[in-house]
Amino acid sequence: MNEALRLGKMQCKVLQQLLVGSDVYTDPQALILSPENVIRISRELIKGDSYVANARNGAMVALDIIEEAWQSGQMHLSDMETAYLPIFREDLNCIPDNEGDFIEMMLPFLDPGKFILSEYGL
Amino acid sequence: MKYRNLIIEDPRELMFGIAPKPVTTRRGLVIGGGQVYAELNFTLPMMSINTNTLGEVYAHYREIAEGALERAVHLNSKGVVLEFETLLEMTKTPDIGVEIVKIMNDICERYYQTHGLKSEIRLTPNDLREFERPAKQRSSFYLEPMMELFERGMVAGGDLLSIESTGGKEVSDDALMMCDLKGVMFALSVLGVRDMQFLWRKIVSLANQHGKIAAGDSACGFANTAMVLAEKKYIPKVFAALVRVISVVRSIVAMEEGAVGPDKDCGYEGPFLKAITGIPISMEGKTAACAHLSPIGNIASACADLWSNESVQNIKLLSGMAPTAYFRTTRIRRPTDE
Repeated sequence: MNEALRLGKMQCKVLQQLLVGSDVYTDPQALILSPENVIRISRELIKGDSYVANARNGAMVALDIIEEAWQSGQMHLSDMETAYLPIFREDLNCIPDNEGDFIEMMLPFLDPGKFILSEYGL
Repeated sequence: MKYRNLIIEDPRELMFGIAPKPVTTRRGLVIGGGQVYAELNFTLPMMSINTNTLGEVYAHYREIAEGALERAVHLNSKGVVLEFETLLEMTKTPDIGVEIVKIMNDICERYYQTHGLKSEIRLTPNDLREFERPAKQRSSFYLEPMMELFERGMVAGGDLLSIESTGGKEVSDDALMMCDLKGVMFALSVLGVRDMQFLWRKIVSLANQHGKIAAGDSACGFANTAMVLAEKKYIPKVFAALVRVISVVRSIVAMEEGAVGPDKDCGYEGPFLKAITGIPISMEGKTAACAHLSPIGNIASACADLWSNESVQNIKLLSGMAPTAYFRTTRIRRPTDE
């Protein structure tokens, strides 16, 4: 990498393309780390008005990216993986923008013996 | 929320070795300033840590630092970061952690004075609070030794400060096993965010007080747990990828509170943090195979400013001690260029 940095932008770009290309379609966890996808997801991670909305928006576009790669045939996903795609999309769709609304939505489904709300300032 | 625009808008600018907001360390290492440096991560071999073995413990860390820096000089490296990720006993009893920082910092300083080698120590105490259930994030008596190690450790020479904090882990552990995306979202974007605000306000305040560098946090206990579970096929890889993205809103809170990087090596959410905040990041990929298997061997280095290896035990390999050998795998620059 430092040799590429010494030689210039073109060499850096070529090396980065090789590093990305060797992994990008092997796994969804690699796919989301390509510079193009990092920027695309990051835009969604800052545009909302709450951490909850930003996390949901980022995850939603990550899911879009994964589905696009799978549907285009660039990335193989097992049946177990693809079976979850609509489930995750539905989960994300029902998460509200507002943190308070989300907390209210979630509390009935969480074991109150597992955590102490006041220890989080709630 | 502090960040409304990306610092790096163009994917072509999200490049290894170059960060819009480089970090300069006490001995002059410029991280993200046009070079990629090695960050070496190491740990003890299997052994107990108690009053009877402390001499042996200290000898291991002395050997690790000496071996790595000697090798760095032989390879004409200009700089290296040594990450001291404490073991539980070293945070529970801060005297132990502080003594190890002192031992390693003395070696770093000697190599700096005699060879001009710029090395720094990243000090990463344990988040002891996860050993209480339910966790008492704000009132735990464990906070005291953690913060004591941060403060005394930074004074002793731990210039870069990090932690793998665990706020929300008591909810996320079950949610991960159940592929419960909403549960993970609650753990990270509600509980995790709030705990990060609480914890990093303290860490940044101490760092500023002592002129040290609040570096960053890793969602290791969440997203890397998902990665390892997916690798074992317990949960879908798609789920692990989504957990990683969700973890960004939690880890970025360190920067919102004043952390400046380099973010921690095992935080694969680092590239997002770099794009949004411009900080330099440490990353690990194929070189982390000594600690965990992952499907992101090369792509992890695409925009890394420090290239790391994850914890490797101080055991003897055919070439030498494992941390010394791993220094070679994380070191990137050719000697002829220097």
